Amino acid sequence: MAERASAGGEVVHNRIAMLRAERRISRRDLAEALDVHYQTVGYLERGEYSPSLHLALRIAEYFEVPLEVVFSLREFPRLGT
Amino acid sequence: MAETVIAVRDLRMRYGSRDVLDGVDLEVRRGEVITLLGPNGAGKTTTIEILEGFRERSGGDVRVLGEDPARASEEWRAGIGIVLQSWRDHRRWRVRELLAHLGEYYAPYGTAERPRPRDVDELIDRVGLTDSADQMLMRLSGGQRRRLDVAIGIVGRPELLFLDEPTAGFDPEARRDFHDLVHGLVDLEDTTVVLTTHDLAEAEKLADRILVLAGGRIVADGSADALTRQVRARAEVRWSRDGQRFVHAADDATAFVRSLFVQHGDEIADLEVRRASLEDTYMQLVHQHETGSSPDPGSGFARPADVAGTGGEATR
Repeated sequence: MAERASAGGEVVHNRIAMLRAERRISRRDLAEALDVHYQTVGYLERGEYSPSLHLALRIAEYFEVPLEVVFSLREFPRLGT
Repeated sequence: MAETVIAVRDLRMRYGSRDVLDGVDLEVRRGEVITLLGPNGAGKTTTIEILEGFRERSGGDVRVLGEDPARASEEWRAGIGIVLQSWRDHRRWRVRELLAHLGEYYAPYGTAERPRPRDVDELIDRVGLTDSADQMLMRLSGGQRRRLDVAIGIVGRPELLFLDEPTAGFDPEARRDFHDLVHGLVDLEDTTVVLTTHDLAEAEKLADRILVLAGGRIVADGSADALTRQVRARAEVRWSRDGQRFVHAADDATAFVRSLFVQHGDEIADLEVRRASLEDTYMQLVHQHETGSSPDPGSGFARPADVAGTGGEATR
């Protein structure tokens, strides 16, 4: 679960890393499927970069989940205890 | 059009029942730097050895400096410089001694245009071995040994220089020195260079033209830039707005950036457009070859096999 608070920017939380780990997809596989650089997946997962709306939709489509499962304005609840 | 130095048509090499080279065509012009890329076992070294006259081919036409390397003269050989993958002999010779000795063989073939051999001390300085000139070869470090290999390759002031993985074992500074040396040979002495490497950054820096050898054929031929354009359409665009960083993968990066500015104007900062690297391109070319799929410039990088379990073509 990643978040970032930037100077004046809005915070977008995402669960890309969790979805990727759960489905045993490597960073490289995701990068190739999205046509972004390998390091960019890390930037996205850590929230250092936000995806464009189009890229966000493609990420959700790749994982076959609705957009709000991957991205949220509020912090995702922790799973488990 | 510059003079053709190497002309190869339908080159074939068969070991037993296995075709290592299966119809290679290539042409190299004077003063060009050509890099031969390809996976291990693709036939790079075999190709170079045939061009050097060290290996009999199974079929095809080969012309190097106007002659067939399989039947070429000593004089022809004097015009060729070779840096092999590894040298381990002459352990007790000293650097200056060995270069002077090898250089003598070239003396009968010197011309006003190409005095042979080179001045040995100048050569030693040029490859950065001045401090080791009187060292025995067995005392040289791996990097120094490689510098000496390069010196041996150019002591006869060759018209055509073959380099087989020349910078394996070089640190970044030695690598930079070597690149400067090759540029000097090409720019100042009109040398033609054919090299193999696994270092794609090196291929990009040195080569006028890159040839990719896979499955016994040339599957791509062009500058690093041309190859990159050939396989990949999507580029990554990054920017920041209001302190937030964004990333997008665009089919048409220019159009996307234009629309970004129309929408946000002066708010856009830190704009970056990153196209596929030569490494991305190379991996895709080799992968296409291995899977037998035809080049599909629009397909980006998703491999159907890789995404099959995770939503198939959902990303397209």
